[in-house]
Amino acid sequence: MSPLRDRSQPAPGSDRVVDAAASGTAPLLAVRDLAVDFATDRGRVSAVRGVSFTLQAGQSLAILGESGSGKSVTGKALLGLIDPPGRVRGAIEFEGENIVGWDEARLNTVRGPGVSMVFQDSFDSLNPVYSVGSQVTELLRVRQGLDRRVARERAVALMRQVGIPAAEERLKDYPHQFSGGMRQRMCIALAIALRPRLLIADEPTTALDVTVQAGILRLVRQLQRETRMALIFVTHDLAVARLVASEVAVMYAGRIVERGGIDDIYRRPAHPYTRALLASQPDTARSWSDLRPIAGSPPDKAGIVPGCAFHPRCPIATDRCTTEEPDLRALSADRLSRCHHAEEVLDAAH
Amino acid sequence: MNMAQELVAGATTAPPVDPGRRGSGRRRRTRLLLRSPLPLTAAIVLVAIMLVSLIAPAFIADAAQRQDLTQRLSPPFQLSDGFAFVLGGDTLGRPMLLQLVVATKTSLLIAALSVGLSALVGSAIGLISGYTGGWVDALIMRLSDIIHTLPSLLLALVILYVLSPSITNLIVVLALTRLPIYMRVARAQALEIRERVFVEASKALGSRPWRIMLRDIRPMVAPTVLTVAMLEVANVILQAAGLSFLGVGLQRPDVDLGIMVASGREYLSEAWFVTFFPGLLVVVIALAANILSNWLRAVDDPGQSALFVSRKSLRDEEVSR
Repeated sequence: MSPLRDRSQPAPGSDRVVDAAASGTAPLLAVRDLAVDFATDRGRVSAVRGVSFTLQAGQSLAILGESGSGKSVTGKALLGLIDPPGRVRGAIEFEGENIVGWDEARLNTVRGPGVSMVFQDSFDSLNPVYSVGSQVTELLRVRQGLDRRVARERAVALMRQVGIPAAEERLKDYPHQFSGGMRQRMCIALAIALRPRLLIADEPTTALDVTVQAGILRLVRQLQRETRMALIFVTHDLAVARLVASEVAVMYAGRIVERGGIDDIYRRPAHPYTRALLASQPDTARSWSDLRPIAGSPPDKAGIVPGCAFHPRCPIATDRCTTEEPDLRALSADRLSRCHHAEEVLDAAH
Repeated sequence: MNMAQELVAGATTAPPVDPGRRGSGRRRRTRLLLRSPLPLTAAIVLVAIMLVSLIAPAFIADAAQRQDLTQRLSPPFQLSDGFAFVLGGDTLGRPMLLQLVVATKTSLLIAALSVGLSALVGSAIGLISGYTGGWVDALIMRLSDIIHTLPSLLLALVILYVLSPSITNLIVVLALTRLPIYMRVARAQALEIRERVFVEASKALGSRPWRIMLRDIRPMVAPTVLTVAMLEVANVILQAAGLSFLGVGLQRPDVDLGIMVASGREYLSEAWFVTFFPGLLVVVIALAANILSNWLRAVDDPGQSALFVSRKSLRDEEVSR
């Protein structure tokens, strides 16, 4: 284990270099050594293996990774949504309080006004048996004690805020009468209804039409700026992440492998995985020959890869990578990479 | 929402209820029912029996209990003794027709109340069990297994033997023995629905467990439970009749269809009709209820609809859309 992530050394996790530079105030969210594993028939499977990062109020962070990298599980863990057989270890400090191990009743005080979430599957994240209006008004009435009329007005205002045309008339509509994009807008309206300080968006545009995506992304960014809430945007698409977030944490096999400013990383990746991820995306490739899928697949979470988790798929892997696990180390004031050859990768991008 | 509306709105496990189309869904079913002769007949028969047995007893209760020994075991289909004796007289000279009406009312009442009770309690337990999971679920399901393992008639017999047979006890016992069915159905549905994203989204917004159960999951479980309850009505009528027939159900002077069948048993060779008519009525009610509930279930299930819904009516449906 890296000395920087060692629990015996409390505060200065190496990831926090970035945030220390960004602001001197206490962070809104501090995640330390977050580990999530699930008991299965094949034994304990680790989905997240020691993730640490901090987030200031109003900051936007993208968590980037392919399927199975642990990015969605990380997002859910932040809301205490990991149910048994899942197990969460480490610390999630939201506004200075560690919420790991809290019971449901206590978590519910944070969920909603503290942390809120938008899910990937907008087709199923609204209850099909209630009108969209009643879902928003009920939330407001139960959680904020508003009376029927005020809640209704506020619901209409929220729907306008997320760009639903003719909000007043659509209040009585049911989710199935909404298009995919409109449903996702409704989900966002619900998620921001209690004015959360942190919004987690778990691939909110993945299930949507490309033409609708841009609208949702613009909405998320605009809301984030207007309301000054912090944003964690979970995605597999760096180009999408770039539109909404200023910081990025790249995850591979349950760990953060690179962290830094999103434009920096987009231009000059410092980890071969990030580089491969960029080369595999159609929008960054100029032609078919530029488009390179990453060979192989992420390691089976039940199995343990010795050395660097990425080495079986890494084009520049050396003997050292097969035996010695790299630490997440600082390359500059605002750049971290978990690679023995980070400098070479960085230089090659020039 | 009334029960019938919720019932017709409910697909079994099929896609989530589409509340916005509830009205049109009901119209569709009404239209399909009018074009399907067998379920339509069943519906008409059931409604007629219900109306008569609910309204008539208020006027004929006394006449039904009046014993006229000259009419003892008088044969049916003779109008000379008045219309009340058109189906003959029973073992104590009471008019069969009026006795049947009163008995049907009691039988239907017992069935409705015990089905309602077990559906309500059973689905609530099943919902909690399925949503909570863990040892609570395991414990509840083992209890349900125990009830399920015992033959329900035997269980009812024993309990009613120990308690005194009365209408209330009969209803409670019948409800108890049918409880596991609702528990299982509601639990299975809750298990499925609690994994849906909107439940997780509700949790993410800080909804308490009881709110999720009552507001998010219950409305999606209700239609299935109601369909099962419909099917159960026929079963419970038969069971209640069986218990009364065995002498641990209702006691005279209360009368239900089972008691009537039982009272004619000793006179089968000389007066067949004393057993036959109440028996026939039990069969007719059970059959009609079965046909109708099967049809209701099938209408919403594309895989099954061919069985109960004629192709032609479905085709017309397509055209008229």
